[in-house]
Amino acid sequence: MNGWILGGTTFLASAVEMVEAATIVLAVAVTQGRRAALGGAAWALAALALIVAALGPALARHGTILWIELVVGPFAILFGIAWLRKAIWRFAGRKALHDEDAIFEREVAVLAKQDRRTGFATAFQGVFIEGLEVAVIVVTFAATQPALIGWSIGGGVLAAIIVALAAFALRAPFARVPENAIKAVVGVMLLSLGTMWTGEALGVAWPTGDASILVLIALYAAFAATVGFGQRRRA
Amino acid sequence: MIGVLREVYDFITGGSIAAPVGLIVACAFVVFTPGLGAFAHVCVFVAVLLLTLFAAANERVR
Repeated sequence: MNGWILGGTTFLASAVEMVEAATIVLAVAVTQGRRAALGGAAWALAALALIVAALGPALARHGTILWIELVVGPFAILFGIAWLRKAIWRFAGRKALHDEDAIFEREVAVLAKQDRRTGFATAFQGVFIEGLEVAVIVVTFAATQPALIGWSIGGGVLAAIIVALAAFALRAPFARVPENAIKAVVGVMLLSLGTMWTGEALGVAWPTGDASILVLIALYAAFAATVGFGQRRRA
Repeated sequence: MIGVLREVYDFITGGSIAAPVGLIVACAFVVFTPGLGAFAHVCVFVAVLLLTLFAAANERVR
């Protein structure tokens, strides 16, 4: 399995979730000060790192690769379908696009009436909830491909650092990040990897081995685009 | 308790009914038809998952 595929998927998943988290942390920083915002975000990142450090190696230790694939493959399929269908809905206009500016304004209005402890809790919750899905993705990748653990964790951490630095420099929500397109790409990658792993665990013999992942990616991307354009035309 | 289970279900499936059902059908097909042949397994397994994606994308928007 190519490290770029795993690292790229965790990078994009982490980037899109951290963009959403950054909006909440920025709203806390504006209304309740930098300390509450950075404190809550730092504790949440520490909690997520703990989850990855505890679960990843534990999963990898307790079981053969086929059993791990059988556990994490279905999760990847379900996560992938959830991300992809949301992207399709937004592309087709059935669901509103994620508007970081509007979310920022709403958070600022709510937080302006609260005390500083609420700001800490809001920053913690924002980063933890948005990052939990990424942590689960990183854990599943790390367990299934222990040799590429650096790629899985590295992709997620790198995106979080880039988003954090950009948020610090800009001090404004990332309204122009193409969140929906990124979510669609992550959805396709998760669904393809999940299909591959679950199939392998159940005894499906992929015709071209690991290279079949590229066929699956192309197939799911084309199918999702067809469904998205179909729904958009009907809407 | 039911609220917590609902939250966990929504976290894993995004609230979709079609996704877990389709996944179970795809897996069950492979498990219960061992003599069918590798090519048939690949085709049906992927086809069922494509249908699952189609069904999930056509569910009510949440």
